Amino acid sequence: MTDLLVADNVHMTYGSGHTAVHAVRGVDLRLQAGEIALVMGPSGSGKTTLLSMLGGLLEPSEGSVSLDGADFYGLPRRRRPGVRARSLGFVFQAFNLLGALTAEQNVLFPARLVGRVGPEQRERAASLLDRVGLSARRHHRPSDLSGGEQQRVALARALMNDPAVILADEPTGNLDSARGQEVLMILHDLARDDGRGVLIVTHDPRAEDVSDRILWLEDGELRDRNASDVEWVRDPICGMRVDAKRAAAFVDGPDGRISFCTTRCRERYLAAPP
Amino acid sequence: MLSWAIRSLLAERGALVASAAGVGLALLLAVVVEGIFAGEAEQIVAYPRLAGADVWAMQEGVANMHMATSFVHERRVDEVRALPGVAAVEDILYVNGFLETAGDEWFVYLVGLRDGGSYGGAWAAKAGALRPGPGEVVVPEVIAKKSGVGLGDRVGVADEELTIVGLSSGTYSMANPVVFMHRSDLGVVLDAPRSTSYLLVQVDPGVRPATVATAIESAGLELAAMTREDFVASDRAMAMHMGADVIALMSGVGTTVAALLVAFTVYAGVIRRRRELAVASALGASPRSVLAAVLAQSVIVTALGYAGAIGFALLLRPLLRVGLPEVTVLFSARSLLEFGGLSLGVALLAAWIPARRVARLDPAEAFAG
Repeated sequence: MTDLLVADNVHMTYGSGHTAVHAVRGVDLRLQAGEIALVMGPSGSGKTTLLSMLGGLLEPSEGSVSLDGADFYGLPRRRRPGVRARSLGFVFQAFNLLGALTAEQNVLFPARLVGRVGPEQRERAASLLDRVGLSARRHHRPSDLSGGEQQRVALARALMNDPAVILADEPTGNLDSARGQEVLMILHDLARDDGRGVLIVTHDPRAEDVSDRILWLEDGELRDRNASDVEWVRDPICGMRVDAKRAAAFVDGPDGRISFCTTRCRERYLAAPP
Repeated sequence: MLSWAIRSLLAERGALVASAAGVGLALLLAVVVEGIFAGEAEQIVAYPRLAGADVWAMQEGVANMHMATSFVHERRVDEVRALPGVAAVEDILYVNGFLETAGDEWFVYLVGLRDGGSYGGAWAAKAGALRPGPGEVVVPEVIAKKSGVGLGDRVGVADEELTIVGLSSGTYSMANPVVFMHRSDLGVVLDAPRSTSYLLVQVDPGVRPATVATAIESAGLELAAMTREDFVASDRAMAMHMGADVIALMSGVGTTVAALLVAFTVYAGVIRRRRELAVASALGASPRSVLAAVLAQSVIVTALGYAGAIGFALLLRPLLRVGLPEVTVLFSARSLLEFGGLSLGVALLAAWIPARRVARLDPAEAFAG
């Protein structure tokens, strides 16, 4: 497997001397193609700081971050934004769509940052909006979209420049259960179907089921942690853990109720039952 | 990025209008104060500018009218008239004094005119005569309006009582309104027989006024002579030095306040949009393009505010003329352009500071939930 994103002994220290705060201490991390890794941990554990450093937004005090084999912070500063725009896709908790732009224009925004927008880019934006089920809403502004729709637009935007790595900061944090599971399912597909590396910072335990690896960050230090063993039902299509009482979709069959994480999985199930 | 910056600005119309209005009001304040200053600076020299002389001749050592007196023997009138290149000479008696009108007292330029002169008196009449006869006076229409006097009313100059026979236009300034009376009446006040104050010389067609001024000074008549342009410039400089410092200070304060308001408005606008700018940065916008976006937005806001201020100021001018006739407002293209340049510079500077901060990336801004 290819290492898409590598953090090597990354530290972040704010201030100096007696007032120094060590937000992140000696983190080593490897994210591979097709892998979903979760970073979990209590509030204030340094998750956002770590994500900022991995995302090329905050230069570590010590250590290195490599994207596709190249030391990101070794690049001249003026080249970093372009690399970030091409190699990384960001998904934020608050969606962070640009309010003045329509859904389609938001998706096209990263393409504008790296070059001209032509028919090819417009076609790709349309295809991405179709992939997240929002073709019909492409001319709507963020204020006219629900939270779930906004996050799906943000996902399409993150994919616009076909980045190898997706970094998601609490992507389900502002969504209800069903919309949250829908977003997690899309992130799952981005890793499984597209072979991207997906790193999710989250508190959402449902994300554990779509992940390959859970990393626990506490007091700025990272370590592996096994998924907790909770008795939830499994979505038969995607395999995601689903709270049966709050499932977004279900089918009542002869052997009882089958729960799905999203209507999308239910449609897949109905189209081709196992 | 630029197209997004413009769309972003236009999408929030309320905020755009508020920002442009803030900038516009600040500039309007500065433009109007500066216009009043410029208008007064012009009005203060209205008489030497518009009295009709190409060359002014006066007592040696005198170079202006403001806070000055000039006495020369009246035979100099004929002597100057005889010089080559001189087409006509009118002489005036002149002194600073007070005009009493229905309980009000006005500091004025008193100009004494001979009978039958063709220039040197009021150049435009609102009502009545342009030139007064003995026992008569022509006063600025602004004074008449503010004092509630009119044609036929009696006013006082020194110990003389004179009858208003004309209301002149364009002769009022806050520092030195010009009142015209008969030379004989002013001669009584001055008690200076066979004296005159200034010789207002018109030159023959094709003759340069500077040539005639030099000829007058070289003729051994013990007279100083200046072209109208030089005399006006000298008089304005003296007036500005003497009394316009306060107005200049007001104008400076107005401009400074306007610059601060423009800076604050633009700064606040950038701070308000900081989150979106941080998101754009996080997505891969270069610091340079973020900076360009912010500066473009600031330029648009400032340009809209500037256009609004200029438009409103031009609309305001005729209203001021009616409501505050004692105030002359003058907007010159140069000063309006200077204000445009100043406000743009201030806006760019005010935008530059927060924009540089945003351009340097604050991940917490983009990741804030």
